[in-house]
Amino acid sequence: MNSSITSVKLVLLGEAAVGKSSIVLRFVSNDFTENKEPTIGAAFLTQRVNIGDETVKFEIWDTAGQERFASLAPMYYRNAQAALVVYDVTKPQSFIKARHWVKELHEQASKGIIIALVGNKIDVLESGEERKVAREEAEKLAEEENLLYFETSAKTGENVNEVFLAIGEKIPLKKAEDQANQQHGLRITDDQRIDLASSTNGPVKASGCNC
Amino acid sequence: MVATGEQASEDFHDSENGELSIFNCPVCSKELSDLRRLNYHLDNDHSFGEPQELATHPVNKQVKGRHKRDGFVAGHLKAFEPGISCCHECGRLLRKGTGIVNCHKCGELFCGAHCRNTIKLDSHGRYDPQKGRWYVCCYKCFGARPGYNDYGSSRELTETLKSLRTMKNEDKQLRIIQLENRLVRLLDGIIAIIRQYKGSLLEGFRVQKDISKLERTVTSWRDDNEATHCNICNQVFDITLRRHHCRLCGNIVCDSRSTNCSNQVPIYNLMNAANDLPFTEATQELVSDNVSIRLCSECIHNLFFQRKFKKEVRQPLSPLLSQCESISNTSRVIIQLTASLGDIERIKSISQAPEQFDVNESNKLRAKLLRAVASYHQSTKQISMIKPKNNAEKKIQQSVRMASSIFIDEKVLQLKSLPCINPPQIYHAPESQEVVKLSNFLADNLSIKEIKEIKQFREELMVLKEQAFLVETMIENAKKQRNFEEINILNGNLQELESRMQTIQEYLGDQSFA
Repeated sequence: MNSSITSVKLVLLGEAAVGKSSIVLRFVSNDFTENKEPTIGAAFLTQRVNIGDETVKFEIWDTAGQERFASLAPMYYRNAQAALVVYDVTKPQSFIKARHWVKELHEQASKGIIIALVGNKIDVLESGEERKVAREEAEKLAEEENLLYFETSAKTGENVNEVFLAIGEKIPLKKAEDQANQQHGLRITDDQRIDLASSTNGPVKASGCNC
Repeated sequence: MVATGEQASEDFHDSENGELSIFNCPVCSKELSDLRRLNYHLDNDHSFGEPQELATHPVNKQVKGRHKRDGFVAGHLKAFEPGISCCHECGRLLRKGTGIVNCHKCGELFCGAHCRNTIKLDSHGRYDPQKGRWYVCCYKCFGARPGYNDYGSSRELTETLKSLRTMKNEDKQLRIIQLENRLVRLLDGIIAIIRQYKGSLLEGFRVQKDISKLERTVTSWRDDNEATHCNICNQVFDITLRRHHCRLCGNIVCDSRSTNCSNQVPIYNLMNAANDLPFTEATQELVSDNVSIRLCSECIHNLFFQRKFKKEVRQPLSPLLSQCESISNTSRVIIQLTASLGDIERIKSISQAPEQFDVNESNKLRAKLLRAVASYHQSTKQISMIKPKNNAEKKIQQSVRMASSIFIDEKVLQLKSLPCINPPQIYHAPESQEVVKLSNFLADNLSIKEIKEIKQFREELMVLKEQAFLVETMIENAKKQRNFEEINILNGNLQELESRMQTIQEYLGDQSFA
């Protein structure tokens, strides 16, 4: 494996029930569940992706969309390098919320954050349901705000990996620019790796047994 | 209107084809040429059956096909008038396409869609579940028939139960009174005997003898031969399990230690436990005397269960619980007062010139409310001062604190939002007092904005706590899976969460619940 693993802190934002957790589930375990339980607080998952000869490790914080957890979001997007703002293509309200999130991210999150706007649930359009958020409208927003834009379906898996790949491809560029002053998303250098030969390694001790 | 159906005309034919005979009316002896005319005569002139029109020439007139059915009297069915008749249910104009149906019960006209039920009717369109035939009817008639409802039948047995219950309770009460009387007599007698022989040489001997004589007079003892089993636990008597008589009911019971069917009870204890009974003798002098009588467990239960229960109920609650009770009482008062105050203020705001009475009333209510709120506040403070005895009490204490502070926030907001259009010159004094009191009660001089903010922070704190808990679980899982990188990240997050919680808690200070 290449010695350079870039970890990327990525946060998912968006209205409740647009499919944030489903997108993550599709990306991490290539799985899908109908009628998922609403997320509580924020869930954490990781996934590695090889892009060229680089390995990108996504540390995904999947936040709850319900309003009562809104106060948690800033904590997770504050140091994130990437954000997925998800909306439901059949729910205009969720697109409005997505706009708010994009605005908030630009105002509050770190400067170089990569934001991907994701319109989810395109599979239901094929089953006859009406599209309520025009592609053009979303594209316009993406262009104005300098966002990546995808339409996905967590159910069929369409475009889900592409979203993350696109983010992953954009990351190394940034890394080269200001690697030094980034707290998170560091290359894991040798001294941070767990050295099994050394007895003074913190985490191993902490998690090991007493004997 | 065509009245009688096919049946009638057939009858007529029959009688014409058959022998010609003359019928006499059984009432007025009028001669009539055939049975049908006799029937008609009886129905109309002597009002048997329902009056109905006779078709002038039933033989010649072909009855319209719609309502003909064996013997069914179609008189109440509404006639269809093209272009005018509408469905009684949906109001649609009836055409051939819609279907034209009469409900055979109420006679109204319906379209095909609204007359689909069937009901058993007799020939006059009355409900007859036993002998009737099936006819089309509308849903209303279907549902309105006797004995039908959508949720099954119900029978009102409350009264029966009540009477049974009162009867049983009265019986029980009577029995208890009887037992109490016997107890009083027995104990008074025993004490008198003891006093009589006090100090005498023969005391031990005579007392025993007289008491056993007295015991026999209180109640008739059951014959020993009657019982082979203990009447309570059903064990067979033998040489080790002896028969004993209960001194109050005379029943034969065992004295097995395991079943406790009967016991020797010191009379002093009996008198103390039932000290509401009218004993004539004083109990004090009996302390030294150790006389006991045998009582069966049933009598003990009948006599003392209720007394014990009452005594336990009367025992004071723990300070925390009694405080809780007072809080809940005060909160009820507050809710009531706010509601009535709100009403009055609304009335005032509607009428341009508030009446003096209303104004006075509202001021009175306001003052009352503030007092209630203050005492509520006092109680909550006291609750937080009580030292919890165990974990459960600690939890109760915390919940009460949380609930009460939310309650007070809400009520005070409500109070402040009430329209207050009192002319200030008149109410200056009470109102300034109010303000002082309000701020007093809030102690920290919080404005509405601050209260809202605090509420918000509390909610955030709760969410954070929840999330911290989740992250801790995730860390545990990651540890199990030896996923050290994840642990690092999660630990970092946990620290962030904790520091945020700390900040909020510091901000909230006393107002947090932690």
